[in-house]
Amino acid sequence: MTDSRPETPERTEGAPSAAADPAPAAADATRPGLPAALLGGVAVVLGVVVLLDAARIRAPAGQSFIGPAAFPVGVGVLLMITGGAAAAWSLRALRGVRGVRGVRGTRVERASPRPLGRVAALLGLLIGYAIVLPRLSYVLSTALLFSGAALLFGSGHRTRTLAIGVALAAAAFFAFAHGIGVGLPAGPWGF
Amino acid sequence: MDGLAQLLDGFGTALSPAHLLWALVGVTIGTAVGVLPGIGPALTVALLLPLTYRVDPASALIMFAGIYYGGMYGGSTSSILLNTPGESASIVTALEGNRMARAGRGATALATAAIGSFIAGTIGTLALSVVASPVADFALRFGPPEYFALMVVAFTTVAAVFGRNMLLGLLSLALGLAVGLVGIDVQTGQARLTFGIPQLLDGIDVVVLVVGLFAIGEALYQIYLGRAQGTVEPVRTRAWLSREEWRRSWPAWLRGTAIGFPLGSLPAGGAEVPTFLSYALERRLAWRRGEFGHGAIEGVAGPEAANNASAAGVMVPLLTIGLPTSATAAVILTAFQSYGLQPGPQLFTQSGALVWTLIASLYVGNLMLLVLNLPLAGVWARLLMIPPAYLYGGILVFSTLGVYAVNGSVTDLFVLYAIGVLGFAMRAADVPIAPAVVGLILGPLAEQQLRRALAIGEGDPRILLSSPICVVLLAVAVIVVLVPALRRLLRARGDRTRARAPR
Repeated sequence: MTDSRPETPERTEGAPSAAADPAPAAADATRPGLPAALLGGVAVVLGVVVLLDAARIRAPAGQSFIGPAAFPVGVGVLLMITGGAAAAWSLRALRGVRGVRGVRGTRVERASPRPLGRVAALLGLLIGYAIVLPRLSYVLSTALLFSGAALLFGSGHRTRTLAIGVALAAAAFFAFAHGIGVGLPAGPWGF
Repeated sequence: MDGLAQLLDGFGTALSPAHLLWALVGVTIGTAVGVLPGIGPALTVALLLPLTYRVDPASALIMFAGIYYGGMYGGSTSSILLNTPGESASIVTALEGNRMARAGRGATALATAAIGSFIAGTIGTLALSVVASPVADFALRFGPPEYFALMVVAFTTVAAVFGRNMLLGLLSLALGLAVGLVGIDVQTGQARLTFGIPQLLDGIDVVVLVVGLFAIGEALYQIYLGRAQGTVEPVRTRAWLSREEWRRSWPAWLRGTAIGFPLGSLPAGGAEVPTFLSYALERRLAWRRGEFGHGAIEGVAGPEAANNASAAGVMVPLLTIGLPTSATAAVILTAFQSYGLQPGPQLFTQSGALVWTLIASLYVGNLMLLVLNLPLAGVWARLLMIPPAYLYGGILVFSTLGVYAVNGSVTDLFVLYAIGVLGFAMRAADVPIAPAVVGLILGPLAEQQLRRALAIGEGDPRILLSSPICVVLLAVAVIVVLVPALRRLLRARGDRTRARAPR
């Protein structure tokens, strides 16, 4: 089963929009289910990966009645079925056939354009944090993480945000490193 | 009765100053994270799991249970004052609660939520104390085939009740099961889905999955939405009820409890369905029908009682069978496991004192929550004044810290981000998160039971249907999956005939 299976276009265009789900009708109408279609596709790919990995496993002979590969095969199949069905179903909704309740996609109200750009920026910030953390000490890198994230989330005051970031990072460092004894990277200056 | 004596012993231990303090810390943190949007009890317990290395089991479990109960109380505050549910079980509360707050009756709504939560939580805990031992005794008869069947039921019902439809629930479950496969197979030592990365041999830690799906996924989703914060309704008066409001609230509390506890204790999990049912019931019963939608107190009292009663109900399968039916319960199960304890009937025979201490602490925690929430309602409301930019900055700081602290490794952070992106995609696609968490934690256990069962049956799969209990349970699982599909098929056919009909 693949996610690119063509949907049966048997539904009549302009069927009366279903009374099934009155809630977010407006949101449904704009972009029904593109994320669900993508996620479904990813799940199918993941299912293939799980199955390939299961095929690679060599069960030690005479171990037990079902080996280490059996359960993964089930999971892989489940991933492919559910992912494929979700993708097919949301793609059908995407084609603008009304009357089919689509998977609710993105919401309509957006404060500013390029929402995926903001997501990428935040993700980049997080990745950068993981890279600098062992090198730049916990307090410094965490203060940068907090301030960067807060600014991305629309915090107006730069200096205040930075000050809160430093205070929070320092408090977390002393509570966890000294209080609980979690090993956190410290710079040459000791924090 | 034996159980009563054990419960009294449990109170003896739970009322020691140290345990009282842990309970107080737990319910306070629980209320706070329940109030704050974007962070909930499952995430919080996951972040605090490292505590299990340093604290004795009773203290940690008392605190985690307190967080669970506290989250149920706190969730109502943000629903009522901000119209943003702090917790999925408080979605319905926002319907009437926020209307009440806008009409200047926020304090009343908070009071009926808090008192209702207390009454429902106490009755629920009482019911838990009564049914726990008999259920555990019954579960003693379960063998691997029965456990496997039960877990299949839990998988299907969790997929069915969380989120908007079965398909997306199953998709979420499958993703969680797949993540649960990563690592070394315990029975044969084979590496699965590790792709040659040595850090993956130990499997993906529950903390990483829960924090990634909930915290990172939520932060990415919120920045994607770019939503500004809603308006927080001020609390003008003291949180209390007038005589008339008492009269209208208490039947709703009791009805909510009656719906919440049984549904919570079925292996069907989740507090959401009971709250929806309670709301629908109150709405139908209200003879002031016109008031619903404009701030009817019953619409807050019933669902809030239902979600606390179901929180107590969820403890029944968790403690007696070892079956978690909500994300938080799944994480609490992990806490048990990290002490080498496996919830289930054996827990009652081997660690009876611990179980009864935990149950006793639930009574205590509920009382603390009432005291914390009634006079201090205004203080909790202040938490909502934290600008979302700082809130999400803080969430990111503590979630990365919590994950880094598990192994002190940066690799975990990258795994965390990958799962966070998955969580973001799931939110955008409206796929519920809880089934994935349950799948990750219950999946390996289900596999173990399946393999044990087949070993007993010497490879014959008919062992899975060897007892009436198994047959009934697996039939339930099949029905749970098929009924929504059938209904959709019928509805689609109805649509088609309607579409053909002349306009």
